[in-house]
Amino acid sequence: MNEPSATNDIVPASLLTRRRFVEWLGVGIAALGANACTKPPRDDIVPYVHRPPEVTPGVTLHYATTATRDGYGIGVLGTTHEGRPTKLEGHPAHPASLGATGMREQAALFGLYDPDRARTVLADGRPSTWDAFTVALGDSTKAAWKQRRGAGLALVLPPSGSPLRASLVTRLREQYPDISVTYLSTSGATQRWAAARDVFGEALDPQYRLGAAEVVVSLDADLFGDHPMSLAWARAFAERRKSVRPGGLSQRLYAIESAMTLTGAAAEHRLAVPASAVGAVAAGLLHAVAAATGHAGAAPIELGAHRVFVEAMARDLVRHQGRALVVVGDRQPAAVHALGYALNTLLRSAGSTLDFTAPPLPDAGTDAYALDGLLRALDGDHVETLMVLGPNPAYVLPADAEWTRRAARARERVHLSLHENETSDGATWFLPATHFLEHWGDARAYDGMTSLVQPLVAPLYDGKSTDDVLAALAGEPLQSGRERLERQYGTELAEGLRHGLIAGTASPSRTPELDWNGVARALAGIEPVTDRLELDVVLDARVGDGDGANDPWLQELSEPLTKVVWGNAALLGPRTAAKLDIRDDDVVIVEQGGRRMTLPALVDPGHAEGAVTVWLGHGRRTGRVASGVGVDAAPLRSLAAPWFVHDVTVKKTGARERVVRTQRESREHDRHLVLRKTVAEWAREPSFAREYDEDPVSILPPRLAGDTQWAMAIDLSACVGCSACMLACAVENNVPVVGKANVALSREMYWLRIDRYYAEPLGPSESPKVSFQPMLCQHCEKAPCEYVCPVNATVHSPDGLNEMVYNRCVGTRFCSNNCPYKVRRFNFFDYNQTLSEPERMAKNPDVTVRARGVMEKCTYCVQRIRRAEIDAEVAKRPLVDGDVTTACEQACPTGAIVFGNLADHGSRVARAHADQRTYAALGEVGTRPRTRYLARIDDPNPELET
Amino acid sequence: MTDDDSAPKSASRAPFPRWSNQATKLGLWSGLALLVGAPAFLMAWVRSPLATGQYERVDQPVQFDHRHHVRDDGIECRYCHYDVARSRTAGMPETELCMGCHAQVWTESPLLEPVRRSFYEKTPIHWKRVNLLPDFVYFDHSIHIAKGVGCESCHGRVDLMGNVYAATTMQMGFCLDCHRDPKSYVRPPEDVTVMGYTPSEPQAVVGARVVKSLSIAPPLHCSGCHR
Repeated sequence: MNEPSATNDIVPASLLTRRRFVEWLGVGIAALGANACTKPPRDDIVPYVHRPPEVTPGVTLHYATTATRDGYGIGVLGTTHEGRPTKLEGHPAHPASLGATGMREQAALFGLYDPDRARTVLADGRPSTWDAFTVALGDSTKAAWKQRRGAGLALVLPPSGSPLRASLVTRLREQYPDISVTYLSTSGATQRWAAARDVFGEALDPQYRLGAAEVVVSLDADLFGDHPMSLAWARAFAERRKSVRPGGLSQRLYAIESAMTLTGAAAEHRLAVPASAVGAVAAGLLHAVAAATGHAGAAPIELGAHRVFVEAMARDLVRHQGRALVVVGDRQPAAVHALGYALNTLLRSAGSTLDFTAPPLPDAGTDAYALDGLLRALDGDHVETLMVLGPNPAYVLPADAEWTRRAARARERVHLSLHENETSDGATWFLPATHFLEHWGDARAYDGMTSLVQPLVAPLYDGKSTDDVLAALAGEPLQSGRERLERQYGTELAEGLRHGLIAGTASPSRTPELDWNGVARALAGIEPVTDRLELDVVLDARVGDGDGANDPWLQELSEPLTKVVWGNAALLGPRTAAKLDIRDDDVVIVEQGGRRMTLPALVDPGHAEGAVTVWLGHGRRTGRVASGVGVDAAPLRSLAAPWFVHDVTVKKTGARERVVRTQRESREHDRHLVLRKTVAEWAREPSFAREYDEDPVSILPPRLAGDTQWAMAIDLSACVGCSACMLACAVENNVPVVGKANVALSREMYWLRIDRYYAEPLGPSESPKVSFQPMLCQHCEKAPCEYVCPVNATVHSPDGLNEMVYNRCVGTRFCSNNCPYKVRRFNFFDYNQTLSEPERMAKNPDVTVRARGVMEKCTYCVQRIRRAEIDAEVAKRPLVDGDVTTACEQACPTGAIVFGNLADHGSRVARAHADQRTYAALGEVGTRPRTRYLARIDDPNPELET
Repeated sequence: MTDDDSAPKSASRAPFPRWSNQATKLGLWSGLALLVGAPAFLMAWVRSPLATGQYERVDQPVQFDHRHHVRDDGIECRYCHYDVARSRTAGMPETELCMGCHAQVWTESPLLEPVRRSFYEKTPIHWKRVNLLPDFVYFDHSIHIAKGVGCESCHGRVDLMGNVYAATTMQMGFCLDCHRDPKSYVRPPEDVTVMGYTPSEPQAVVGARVVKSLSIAPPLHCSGCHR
């Protein structure tokens, strides 16, 4: 055995003396300097052989296509640079988008370039080909299926309103009448359909007209979250809020919910109750409204401490009959939905604030959306061939579905998916799927509008779409997706592709007759309120049911209310936490009947007492990004109780694990960052905002003058905190993801953050008032960062931009220290160096990809400004208001962000800056920011004001 | 004081030899020269063709001769580089465009073999880049064409080049010369592609007129070119 080195050095002393080390250090420094003297290598210019007529190198193209949420379409416009998709924007003419996008649509681009995407067909885990699969699916197999009328063949499909998909499924059913088709939906859409069948006799989708509603009650409904119509609802909500005038009523929102949601944060009044108690509140509300409107109501229900709130809310609703609306959240059981329909009937909402349409999803409300049939068939060995075409049941289903064990009973298991994931384990055939930016198809929006899905890029890998596989199953001749669309739409297709949608296809509205017997049955089915601890499970606001979990952009996006990144936590109300002696970051065990999960706790000030909330979509077991992040809630969920689990126990383990958040201080400490007034206060004091908008004496040069002066205004009355802007900014500006460990050290890079503040003082029982403030570079006219930069890397442009010059920056970080808004970000590492090849393709070529050691921050999307200026100059036309939109403004569903030329007095931003509500954040420090905020105005119910 | 006899001896033996005065002076002066000269040399170096690659003739996969196409055939710049007025890049012609003529003329020429191969095998030609801007510079051809900056002003007399080379350094100082004083450089937009352009009237007159009629106000702030 060799003697270890006596000195125990890492490097033997003979090799590296101190003197030698200094010598090599000098050589290294000299070499680094010499590096700058070399010429960059000559690269190649590779022109086309045959240039497609629509392509001009250097000019972006936009294609209308459709993203989906829960099977419903959301129109998007995809930007491509020389055939490479780089950004998705909302489709202004699409009813579910109105030009806006949510965080999921912004993040969808990563799904295309995800390095973990499946690339090859696998047969029993070994590489194979599509041809081999087609052979396996040959005529003899199909003949055998036909002989058995399709019995033994089970399809699991994602929910989809696609007319093309529907016709394919219809043709399959014609050929194989006994085929089993199951749609796997992870939202609770089935509950609202079940309730509609109960009280209206048919499955219906309620269409809320938030723009017409003056009083809105949300029963556990997150209006502005991930519902397929959220973007349009947020727009309608914000339009009313933005038109508020002193003393005038705009809209009053009540939210009854468990964990705080965006809707709860936007609400004037919020009642925090465990999610299973929302039914009781709905019943109490129905009783009170029925009494006030002269209907024979239900028996009064025990509401305890909530009586005052519910009765005040009921009176307010009744006062606004015909202009009131009750919305029930998808995860609530059918009985609560039925009560919601009854309340809306009593409030005469139908026709004014509420319409009904037939769901555009085929088989909505039928057994095709129920799983138990399929599970029974699997148990009885009636399924020979199980084809899961898209979904990931092995992860998303509750533990008691025992998907993996049951699926293994089928002889043939086919899985088509973007990723090899939990469901792919043991599949006899694994098939790589195409991303929606790679295939043809169609979709229907929540209101029924048909829109088309067209590819922005040829499939990057050897993928096929669900429709391709269904067509092959149906034995149809090999056709491209485009040919199938042509067959479906004929001559309408060309026009449809140009506009992205087929005009006049929105579903006609219905006015169904309410069956009060159904309501009575529902009332009987309302759960009584218990005081035992319950577990509430919700879809994660960012990664949904887990299909976004492998997207680092979404993982690093902070959850809007708790500001948690990378994973989930057990959320507890302050009093419940105190009773259990649990503090932030304590690792707890949530347990029920021997099934348990272990995760860190977080005390959430707005959370209902008597409940613990865990977000779904974490604790994935596959994917380089997703696996190991957060904890899966599946073990405690069951098919019977997927959302509320009663009688859980929460115990401390004694261990601690940091829940990483991007904001740990939630109070403003009297700094008036967010101004918030009621309509009454505003009427008493019309110029309240001016007080915070002073212009202190300064020795610095006066404000800039010129024909073009860029500025931004953010209306806090309209902002619902949805965080779409954060991601839109990150995608547009090549902002890197730094990972959980770096965020824990406050090294996150997102240029735009949304600060969330809880109003002071925080009452012990009442739900705290929450304010959101999008915070980005304020482009101060007297910018403190500029005076301290030793190398002039941050300077002011004559059109009012605080410029950041990356190639000058040496990384002293003085600017960041001197910024009162803390909006500057520093590249501690070369985050972009480690990106894989497909990920690099997502980068925007119009923006520099920053290297290590460089400070960066919001530029007001200067690349878009300069592009618009050049285009206007070349076309010899003036630049008009709206020619320049920043990425955040474009994504914003509520239109809270307005950008434009302040020197143009007619521009939207100039009008916004002149508004009575406008003020500068930290105006007293005299930075004269170009980004100004419009104060949030609430319209609380005087009865509930204390 | 107790001076002993060793004192005069040590006084006569100076600590440094006489030539050391010259050596010290020389050392000081050359040190000073190095202090000034080294940065000056480096600054000159980065501006020299050795570092910038100016005048370096670049071998291309096809022996394309601008002299022949521009002078003999009278083909205008924008016939091949037709994106120049509407895109940030001037654009390199696709093989199909070459073959538009060369399907009829010089169809047998061995010099055109790579072009024909590209066309029939549908494999693009890999041209070597001649004018290289750093990645943090966002130059846009369309605006410069619209504002009367001649091709020649940056690319030189391409009509006299066999193998094309970079005629100017294209360093920031070169850009700023014109951005600071456009009237000394711009020409009427109809003359942008003229090679060997001489203004009809003195440049000061023409330039001032063009600056006024096209309302030329080039950006001098950083984000004009760096984003």
